[in-house]
Amino acid sequence: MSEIMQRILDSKRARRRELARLPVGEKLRMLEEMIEGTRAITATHPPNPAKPVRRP
Amino acid sequence: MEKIFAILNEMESHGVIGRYAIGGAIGSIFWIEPVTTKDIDVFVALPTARSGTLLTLAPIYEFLTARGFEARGQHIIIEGWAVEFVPPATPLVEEALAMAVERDVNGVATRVFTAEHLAAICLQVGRARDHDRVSRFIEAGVLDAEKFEAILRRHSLLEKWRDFLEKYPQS
Repeated sequence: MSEIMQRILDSKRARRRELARLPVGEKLRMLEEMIEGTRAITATHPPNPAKPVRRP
Repeated sequence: MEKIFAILNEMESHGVIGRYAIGGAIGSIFWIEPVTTKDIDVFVALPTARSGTLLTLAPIYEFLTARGFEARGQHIIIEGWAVEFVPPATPLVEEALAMAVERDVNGVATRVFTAEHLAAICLQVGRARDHDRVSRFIEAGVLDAEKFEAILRRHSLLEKWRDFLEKYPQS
């Protein structure tokens, strides 16, 4: 793995650990916000590709 | 979500359900970073019906629909969340329910599976997203090595653990 990829991975892990340490009430609130955000994305979902990748 | 925990506590104190604990993705959020989900898995011991030994989820649905909550498939919609009541189906989940720990969420008490049990259940289920969650438990540093190994040993999961470590060497 390249040095830059390793750095990205390390910072992602550090962020996860940081989030894991938050109080659970705050984490549940974040989840509720994420779901609200997801609903907004779903409303503008693009059409599926005409030729989607299929498993062989 | 605190309201849901309060309802669960009320159901438990009224004997509608036996001991309950939160598992699944929401259970994981008690230990690791938030993961996306729309469901709340509530693992419940069901009180035995008076007429016999048949276990049924009907009293749960009756209790909640009588309070105006909507049943949708196997879920009950409470506060916009799809709540599913799941009786433990394996010895591992039975143990997880028995050993679940009390947690306080903004002043409301609830019970959640331990991090070690949640990770062991993920390992047992073994889908890609379950393996991803095991990695997150490890990264968060919340698994007690001795407790986790004891669970894996009791439930014959050591081989799955070795396979996992081989497949995801960075864990």
